[in-house]
Amino acid sequence: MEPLDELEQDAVTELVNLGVSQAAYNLREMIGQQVILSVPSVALMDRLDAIDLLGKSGLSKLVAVSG
Amino acid sequence: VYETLVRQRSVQGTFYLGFAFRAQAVELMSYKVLVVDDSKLAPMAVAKLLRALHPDWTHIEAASADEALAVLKEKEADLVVMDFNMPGRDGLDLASEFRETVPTMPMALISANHQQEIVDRTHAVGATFLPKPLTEQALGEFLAGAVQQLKAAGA
Repeated sequence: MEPLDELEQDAVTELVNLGVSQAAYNLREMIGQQVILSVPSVALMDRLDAIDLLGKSGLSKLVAVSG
Repeated sequence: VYETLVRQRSVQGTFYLGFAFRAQAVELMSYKVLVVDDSKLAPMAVAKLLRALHPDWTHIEAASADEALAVLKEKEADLVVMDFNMPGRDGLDLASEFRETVPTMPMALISANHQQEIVDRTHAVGATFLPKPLTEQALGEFLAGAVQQLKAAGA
């Protein structure tokens, strides 16, 4: 299943990029040190698959923000 | 009476000359912008703003660093606007690479990552930092500065 076309996928990536960059900017102002950002990579999936993926990613420090 | 006529004529002549000169200057002010971007959506936004600000200008799009460098080497652009975010080669790396090819070309880097360190590094390579989301005003100010720089270099 391909839920989004290339342009729509670009738009979602851009949106995430803006959100993460703003968060990084605010964190940088709080701690006074640059926050290094990786290149955004976006995938759309349902919640259970996302939990599964994060569990397998090996990240030991994970922060989630829920709105 | 004759003297007055001559004076009037010469005044008129100056007028025509001045007018012709101005028309030429306006024509010369059309520039070519290189837009470097590795996504599809963002250059569409840049192109839309460019059209709104300078309908008579043209722009070329490059989706890769090599494509962009080829355009710069052929001197096919007057200024460059870049939004580049690829693994291992970010916009800043690319900007300093471009600088070696075009040491004085007006250059702008568009990025959502507007932390002070990034803005400082952008200025260090001699480029203007334009924060995302890009506004018509921010791009317009960069282009106005670029036109002044290009005119000064051409004079």
